[in-house]
Amino acid sequence: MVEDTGKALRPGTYKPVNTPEELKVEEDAEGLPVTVKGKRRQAVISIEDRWRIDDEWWRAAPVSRLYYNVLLASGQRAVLYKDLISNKWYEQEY
Amino acid sequence: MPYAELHCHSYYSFHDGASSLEELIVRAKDLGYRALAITDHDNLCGAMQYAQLSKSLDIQGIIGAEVTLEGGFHITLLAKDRKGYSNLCRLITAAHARGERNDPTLPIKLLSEHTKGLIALSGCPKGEVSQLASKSRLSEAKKLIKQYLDWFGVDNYYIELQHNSAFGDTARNTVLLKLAEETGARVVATGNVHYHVRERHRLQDCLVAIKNCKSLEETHRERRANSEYYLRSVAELEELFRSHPEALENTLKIAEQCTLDLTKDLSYIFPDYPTPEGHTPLSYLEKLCYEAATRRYGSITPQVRERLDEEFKLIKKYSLAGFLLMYHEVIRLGREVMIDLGLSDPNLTLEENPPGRGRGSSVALLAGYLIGLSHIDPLKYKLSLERFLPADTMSSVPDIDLDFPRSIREELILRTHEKWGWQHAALTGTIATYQIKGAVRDLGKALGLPEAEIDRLAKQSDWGSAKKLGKKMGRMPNFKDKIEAPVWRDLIQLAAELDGFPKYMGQHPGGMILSSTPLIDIVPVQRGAIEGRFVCQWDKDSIDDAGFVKIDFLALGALSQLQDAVDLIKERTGQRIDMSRIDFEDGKVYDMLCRGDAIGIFQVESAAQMQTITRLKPRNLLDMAHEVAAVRPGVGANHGVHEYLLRRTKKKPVTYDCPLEQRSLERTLGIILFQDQVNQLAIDVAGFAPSEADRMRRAFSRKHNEELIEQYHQKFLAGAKEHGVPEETAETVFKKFNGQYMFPESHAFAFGVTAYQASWLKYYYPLEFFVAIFNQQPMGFYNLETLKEDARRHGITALNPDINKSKAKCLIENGALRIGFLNVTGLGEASAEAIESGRQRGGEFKSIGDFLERTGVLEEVALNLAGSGAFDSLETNRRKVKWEIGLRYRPINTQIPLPLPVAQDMVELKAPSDWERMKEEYNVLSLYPGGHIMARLRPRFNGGFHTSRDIEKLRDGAFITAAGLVIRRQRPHGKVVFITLEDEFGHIPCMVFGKVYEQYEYTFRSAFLIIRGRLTRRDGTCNVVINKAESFNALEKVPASKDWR
Repeated sequence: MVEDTGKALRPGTYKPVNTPEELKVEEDAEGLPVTVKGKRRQAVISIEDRWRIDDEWWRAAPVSRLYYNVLLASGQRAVLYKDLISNKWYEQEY
Repeated sequence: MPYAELHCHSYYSFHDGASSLEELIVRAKDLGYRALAITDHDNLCGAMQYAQLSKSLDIQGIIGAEVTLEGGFHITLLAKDRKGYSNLCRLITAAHARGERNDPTLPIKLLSEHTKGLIALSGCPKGEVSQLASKSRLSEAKKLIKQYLDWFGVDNYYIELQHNSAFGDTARNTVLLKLAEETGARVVATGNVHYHVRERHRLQDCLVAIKNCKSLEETHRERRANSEYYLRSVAELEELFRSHPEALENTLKIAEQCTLDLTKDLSYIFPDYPTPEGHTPLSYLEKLCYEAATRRYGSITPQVRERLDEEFKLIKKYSLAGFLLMYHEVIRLGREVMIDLGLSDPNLTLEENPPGRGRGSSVALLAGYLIGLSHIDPLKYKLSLERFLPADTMSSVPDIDLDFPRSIREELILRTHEKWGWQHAALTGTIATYQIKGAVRDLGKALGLPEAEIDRLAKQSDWGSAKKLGKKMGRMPNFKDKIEAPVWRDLIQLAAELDGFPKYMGQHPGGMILSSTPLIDIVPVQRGAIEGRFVCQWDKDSIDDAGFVKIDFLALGALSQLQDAVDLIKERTGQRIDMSRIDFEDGKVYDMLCRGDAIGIFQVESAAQMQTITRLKPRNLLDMAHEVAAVRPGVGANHGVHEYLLRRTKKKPVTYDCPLEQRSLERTLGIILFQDQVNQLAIDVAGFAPSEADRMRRAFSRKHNEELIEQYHQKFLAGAKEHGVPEETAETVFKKFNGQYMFPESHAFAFGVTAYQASWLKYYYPLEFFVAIFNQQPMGFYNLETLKEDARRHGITALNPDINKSKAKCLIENGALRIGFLNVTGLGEASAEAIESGRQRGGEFKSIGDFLERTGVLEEVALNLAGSGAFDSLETNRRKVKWEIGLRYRPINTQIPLPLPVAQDMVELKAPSDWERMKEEYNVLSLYPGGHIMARLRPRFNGGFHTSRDIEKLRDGAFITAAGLVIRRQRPHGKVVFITLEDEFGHIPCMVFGKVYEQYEYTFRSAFLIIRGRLTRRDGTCNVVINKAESFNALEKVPASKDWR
């Protein structure tokens, strides 16, 4: 159940779920993530899994992303992706 | 590390695979793969083609399929050897025999009974093992794996590990590896390939959308998650499977086990023939031949004996007796059908009334002529066995096509299925492929483009390759601004990729393969769209490659026409003409052809043929063969026709690019007219073996063949060099080969004979000729209006239908052609039968009311009959007739109609004008028996306009302005367009060249044209070269022109 905040709904008060958040990532020579600069800078200990999506190539903003499920130095797991069109990195829950 | 890809879909995985066989093989070779398996969904449509291609391109090709099991699970099966291939064919056949026609499923029990010679791989994520693994149902998965290991053995069953970077691949593979370890099964890495390069993923997405009849937006779930289903580099694969290199090594272990060579291992044996007791196939064939020869020639002459002896030696050497007897059996079956359908007199012998005609190299066989296979006496026409059937080609299957009249073909196909059984007689498959219209419609929908615009674009796109879409759009006012627009430019790019892709497998209209051993050991067979028909999964090319006995039950309208004409002549004169014994050197008949009077004559009536025949001037059957062969795209592609005619009319000398060309080209003045000459050139100039020369020739006509052709090109140059031919000369010779169609010499000869026979009938029996051609419509190059005009020029009058004189079909009446009821729009067999039987029972119809009451035809039918003039013998005012029909007509229902008087309701109505009568006749008959529309329109086109009669008298170079009805448009392979106008006096043949055609492309589609241009006269031909055109309107409904590519 979603908690009732008591606030009235207004345009602009809703936002899509699971919006990717841009972050800075350092890559190695093969383009794999080695360091993630989120709230703090962390090394990537291992890449547990990776996958790719390509879609909506017929639209003005095609989707082409390489996802990585990584284990960070803090022990935290994160899902990052590199946008293959803009070459920017994002974090997104998956 | 070397690698073999064992799971790959070509475009024969309809609407799923997005690359051609050649693209896949070439890419695999470039990547250094050792082998490539093609595993299309539930079919082997491309298997023979693949075997040929992979051999030519020197990479190991493995034959397999991804088969759908009960429950919708997939499994990958690879054929190791001939037995494995046979099992694969049987399994696919069994899968198609169940369930819905296009939804094959194989009962898993049958799989267990057909494991020998097969290697099974557990399949893609849709495989049952993968599905169980993904759902963590591990004990069930282990049980299933153990079952497969039990059936196939540990060396022949592998768990497929696929990693296409889709979410879940890593997790699934982890579980599969554990299952393999626990069960003792081996693992193998496969790519689940659906296209050869990454960029093709866009087309693959579209194919999935098309398959689901939805747009890309609507098929998010059905489409693959990413673009990783391409042939990847070995380095990429090594990286993906670095922790389990044995998965890659095992690809080679499997490849090494697969030794099947489909180009050799089918070991097709010519079918046996169950002969009467005391006979072998050869002795029985001899018996039949000698009996027929006695009937034909009166006795066995020394010439006949010598020829038969020569032939029987070859027939015995190559075991062809059973093969020929099988064809004879089909001809006999055809004769039974004709007798059963009342189309032949049972007292006639087979050779007096053959049901069909053979084409192909068999025309050279006297034995073939005697047993009813061919209609040409090779002794009379000195057809040498060596020319048509050289000894070295007898080791492969001589090709024989059998043409049958339309009327018996359908029944014959069903009886052949019945007689031999569907496992031994199946129809040839045919693969429909994407051209421009289909590509626009399907891709347009997938891309979500506006429906109305896509519809308009498809209609305006006309015909041809989808690669030309961009260019065509550039010439369309409504679309030229869209070429660079988003999504529209995707449409153009994707259409070019989709061009030539298989769309679906259907049945060939008449090709059938026969086999004494079960067909399903050689090629999968599935149910056809029509009940009772079974179709094999190979098309004509694959069947030719396999060397099958294939009989083409081709329905030739021309044969039906000749048959009908001969029957009509017998009815009128009491004499049955033996068309194989007419004078084939009658100068008067050739004179008629040389004048270009060829309308309605098989093979020589097209615009291009008529332009050629007046220059070629045939005087014998060999000339006719040259005429028929010359106007083919393959000859035209090299300007062959033009060059041949110049040499024939001695305007140019006969020369050869190389002395080694002389043997094959001497008889055609140094020009390639027949496809056999291409083979002979490859043999003589470059030392090819006959079978290799044939494969090279056929490679030219295959799609996506660039790499293959280049290989043959290099072989040709190398071979020519060994024969002392300079490279430049060898290149010149090689450039003469192309993929456009040419006739084999024997076909051209057979067709030339049929064309002559039709001409002979037209000259001596024009009445029967035209009645027969009217009754065989639709056929040929002309509509009824044009045929009627030609008949008129030959002294034959066409009479309007008459309720008291016509029958269903056209008939002869006092030297004229009485149009039949079936020619009236809306009038079918049932109504025609009702009118005839009404007349038979109660005599002639006395009035409109009498007609309506006794026939019970529908009001619309009666009104159309009135419009056609069918009641003119009772009442000439057709308006009055229609009024009365309206008053008297009572639909048939449960109420008994009262014969109430209508006289009080009759009114005085003005009779329709001549123009109105003419319009209505065009409307309901598609012709105007009483004249020609241009005669009525002539007052509009008097001053400054030429008629066809005027043009005959004008000199070369004269400026022409003319108006007429378009009766024909022809575009032989994209060069000049031939358009023929018709006026009340005859025809105006026109030519339109490139730029002018582009400028007036849409105007030329109109039914009526005013044209302006210049007259050219060359070697007996006459054309108006158009430089301006405009259209005009005259009728709402116009007799349709016949348009040909």
